[in-house]
Amino acid sequence: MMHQTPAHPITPPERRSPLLLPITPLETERRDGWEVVLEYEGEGEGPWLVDLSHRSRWDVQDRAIGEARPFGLAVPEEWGSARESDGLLINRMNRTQISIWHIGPGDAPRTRGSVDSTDTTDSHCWLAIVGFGTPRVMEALTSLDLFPPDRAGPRLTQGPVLHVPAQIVTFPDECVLIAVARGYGQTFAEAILHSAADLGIRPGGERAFSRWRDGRPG
Amino acid sequence: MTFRITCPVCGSRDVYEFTYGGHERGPRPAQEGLSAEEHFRWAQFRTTRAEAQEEWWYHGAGCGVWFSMWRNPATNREERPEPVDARGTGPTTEGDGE
Repeated sequence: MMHQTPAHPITPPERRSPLLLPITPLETERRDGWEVVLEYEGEGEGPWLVDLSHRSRWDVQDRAIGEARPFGLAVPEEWGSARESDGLLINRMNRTQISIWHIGPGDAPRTRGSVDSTDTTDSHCWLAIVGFGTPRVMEALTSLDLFPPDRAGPRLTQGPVLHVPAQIVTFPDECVLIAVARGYGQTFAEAILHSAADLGIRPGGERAFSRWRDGRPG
Repeated sequence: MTFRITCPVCGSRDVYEFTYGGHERGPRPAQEGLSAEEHFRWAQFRTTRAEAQEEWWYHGAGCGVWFSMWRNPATNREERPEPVDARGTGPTTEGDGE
């Protein structure tokens, strides 16, 4: 049987962020079915709350997870540690599980290597709090100690933020990534903006996150 | 009331992140010859000891792992009893329940 090319190009299915931030987008981009806000009106000087829910994420579970090579990358040995490589953040959750978040520029990789993984992109709300003052913002949101002085690289913490179970990755240079179950998304974001309003937090487009990512030393 | 619990994955955290799962009751009695009363006592009876006991906890607000630990309910401190050879009693299970 002959394989026929469809008469019309296939458009990706509509995918929607779990939250709508209360400010007018200045520039958006259509990406893999998502409407991605690149910049909002009057973003100010930060800190910013950035919706990254459209970016790819995976969970991997294996009895020998330490020996696995998802996307060809090594898994961090220590529980609670995170490693950034080739635009992916690999977070060691416990003895058998890791989560992988795409933070790099460009498209997420399609080849996952030899491991079985679960795509969790559409099941989470994923946010970044980025910019000067981020540690103070987090102090308003959780009693967790997210910035121990002996930590140089990114670190994974699993715990409550605004009483919501969350995976939190802290970078020492003014950025925190937070993933919670998708259903919390809208009210979670509203509560962050409300709780840290006096610290100047405002919604930021994806470029606010990209500027931080690309402007880091090293 | 508050105290801290050491999760085997996340470390020391506030007790309000956890759910209590009861004290360790040991394995279920063998089914053969098990009377209704014996089964009832194993399934339903709880002890309230003023000494260290092994307990199950669930880190629901964190990593989502079930684990067992030793705690003294009289002081809310984590403490293990004397080794088995010194007292004749001791831990029945070890480690996390992941």
